[in-house]
Amino acid sequence: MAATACLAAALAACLVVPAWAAGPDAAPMAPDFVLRSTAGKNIRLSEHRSEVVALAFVASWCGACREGLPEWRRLQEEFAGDGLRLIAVSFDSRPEAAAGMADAAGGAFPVLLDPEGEAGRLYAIGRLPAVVLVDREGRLRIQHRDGRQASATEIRREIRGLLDE
Amino acid sequence: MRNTLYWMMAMWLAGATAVTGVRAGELPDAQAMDQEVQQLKDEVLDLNRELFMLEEELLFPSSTQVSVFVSMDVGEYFSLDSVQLTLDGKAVGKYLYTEREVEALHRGGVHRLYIGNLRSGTHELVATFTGQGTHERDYRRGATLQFEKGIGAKYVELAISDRGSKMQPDFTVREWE
Repeated sequence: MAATACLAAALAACLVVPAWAAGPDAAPMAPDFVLRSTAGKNIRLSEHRSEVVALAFVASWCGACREGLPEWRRLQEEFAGDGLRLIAVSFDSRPEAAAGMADAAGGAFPVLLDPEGEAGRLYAIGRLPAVVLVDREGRLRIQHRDGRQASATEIRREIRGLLDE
Repeated sequence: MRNTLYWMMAMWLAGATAVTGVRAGELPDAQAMDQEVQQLKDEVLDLNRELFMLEEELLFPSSTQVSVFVSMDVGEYFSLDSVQLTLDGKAVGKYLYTEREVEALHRGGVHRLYIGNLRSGTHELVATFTGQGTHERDYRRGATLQFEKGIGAKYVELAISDRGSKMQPDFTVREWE
């Protein structure tokens, strides 16, 4: 029993030290890009330094993406004052389809048009929905790219963590 | 089993000691360390700048270098959205301008749109400007320049200005001497 307890403590320490060693400075810079929004404005990612940016990759033919829009709107409204900037990147080939998603979002955040997948290639997005979080210094900190819709609780916790840094 | 356990405990203690050692060393020499770190940062910035200049000189030697710049006047008659560049019939660049970048151009900023290499001889540059004109109408206008590339670097400016007499934007392409 004592041996098992010591072993567990040693393993726990091994997990703690690496977490301390891999701080935000080790995270790579988020690839920069500029795309046009459905509202006709050109938006460049790097112009949002000092804000925490949540890049949500979506498409009108992605059911989970459409279902997640209300929650994204709530997150943007809740954390806007703390410096959260939510940006959706749509892979729709038809601008009107992307505009439909912007309407569904109630104009709470911009929806960028990426029919050729330029930003998608930069972030190696293969499945939807996908979301990446960029910290205030422009570093790519958290990625959900496995096609699974991350829970609202998980996303909220991650965003809060980056905002509090 | 016992030897394995002792080995793991020793490793854990070594790690804990390293962490504690770093934290203990910070306190007395914190100020000296801050200065040293600041000095290192300055040296890194200087080195980065030198490396950037060297890289540019290696990739685009002055004998073949051609640079294209964009400048903009007040912009009352034209709101710039993007510029597309074609050199000798080949598309070499397209740039979307954000509101902040357009504001910087209005304030006198000059944007280097393209840098590349060209052999000596006659070349043709075509710039296509896209944006909104008066009454928020979509506007698309092209400008062409044929120039001689000599031995030295070639600098070309794409200038957008307001032509008050006709209440229209004016697009000119000119070489810097």
